Amino acid sequence: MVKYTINFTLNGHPVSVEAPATTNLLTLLRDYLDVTSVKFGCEQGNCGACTIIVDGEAVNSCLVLAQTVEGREVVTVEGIGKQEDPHPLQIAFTEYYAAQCGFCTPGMLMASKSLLDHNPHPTRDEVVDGIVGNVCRCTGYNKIIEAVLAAAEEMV
Amino acid sequence: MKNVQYFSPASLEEALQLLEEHGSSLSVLAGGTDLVRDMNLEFKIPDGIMWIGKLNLEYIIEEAEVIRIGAGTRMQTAASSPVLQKKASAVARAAGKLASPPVRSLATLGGNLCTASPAADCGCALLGLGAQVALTSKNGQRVVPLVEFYTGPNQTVLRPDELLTEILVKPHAQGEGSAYLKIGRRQAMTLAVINATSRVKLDAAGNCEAVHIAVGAAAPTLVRIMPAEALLTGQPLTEAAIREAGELAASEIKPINDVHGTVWYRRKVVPVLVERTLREAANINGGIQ
Repeated sequence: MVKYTINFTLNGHPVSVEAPATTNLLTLLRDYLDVTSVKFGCEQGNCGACTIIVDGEAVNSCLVLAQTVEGREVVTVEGIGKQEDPHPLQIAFTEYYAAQCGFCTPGMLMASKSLLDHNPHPTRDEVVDGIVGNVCRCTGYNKIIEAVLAAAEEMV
Repeated sequence: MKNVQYFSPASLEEALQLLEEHGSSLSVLAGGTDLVRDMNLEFKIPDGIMWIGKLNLEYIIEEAEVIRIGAGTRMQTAASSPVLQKKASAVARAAGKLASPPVRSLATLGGNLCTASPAADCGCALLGLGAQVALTSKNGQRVVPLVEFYTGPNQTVLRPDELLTEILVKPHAQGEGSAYLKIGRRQAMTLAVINATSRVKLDAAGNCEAVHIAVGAAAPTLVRIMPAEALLTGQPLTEAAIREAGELAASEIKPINDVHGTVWYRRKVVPVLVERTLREAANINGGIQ
């Protein structure tokens, strides 16, 4: 099996990994780099569980060929806050009970982070549109939307 | 697992050379929302992958007679482009309605055209705008009207040694507008059960100087509704004429029953979308009857 070396920045740190050409970024993060916050859902861009931020924009990591992040900046939920220093979105998600089973939460946080980065004062409809690609099968959408709106206010 | 080769050419010349050498064994990777999905699900594992993300194909340039759109322009870029919103509004709207934000920051206009889904959002909008595509190979370039580009479901006239590099759209003139609408199984994140695009140019007297109508998810390829275009051209855009154009669209299409919708439903909904896009393109009551 021919492998290709990929160098990129993961949550601010340079990494170098070898993987076959067909490897997607979701698999690279989970199976090669042990970043398990990035969830394996549908592998076809429908569920949003694997949403991360590449060069400042939310993407479905399952649809990104790992080779194409060479030299680019990849941020997962580990990169936006720590337990001792959480991101305002992470605080709001706990305060508003926006996580039930928690499977969609990392993807929701990254989609919301990207939304607020580009639109710091979203309306409720804009929040809905921002997380439209992220499925929550506990159906806790209202609490997630409330949390994102609260975080936006907090971050002003 | 087979050994798949990966190429990441740094220039268009290099990319065209690779296509010349490897031909159809090489799959072109743009945004990846179709190709990587197909690889994940093992529908298709190509022998080689050529990523065109370094070719600087993301641009929107407005010239006097044409808007030149790089094939690598992503949906979010197209949707938020003031030039496209004002001068080619149907494609800006279609790009903003495609899937979800994380998909829109990957998927490209060129990819949407080359995948050649009969239900493609931007394919429908660009066909209805009367767009042309530049197909470039090592041996030169040809410009093909989009109406001659599609040959079947997921099939186009693109040769294995060619790359779709640019999309050419005539900007709206004075008194001209365009509109795109789709109906899916839900409001957001949905594939079109039927989509439609109209482009209408009215002269000073209020008669249709030029009309384009395209419909998607209604035939093996995206289709133009030429009889309806011919009917409206030179005539005043009355409500009766709009209705007649909608009925012609319903009889022109060749829909199928599938998981997304039935033939019966598609024939019912095509006139509604064609009529609404005609009204919206001509700025009549915001598209509502």
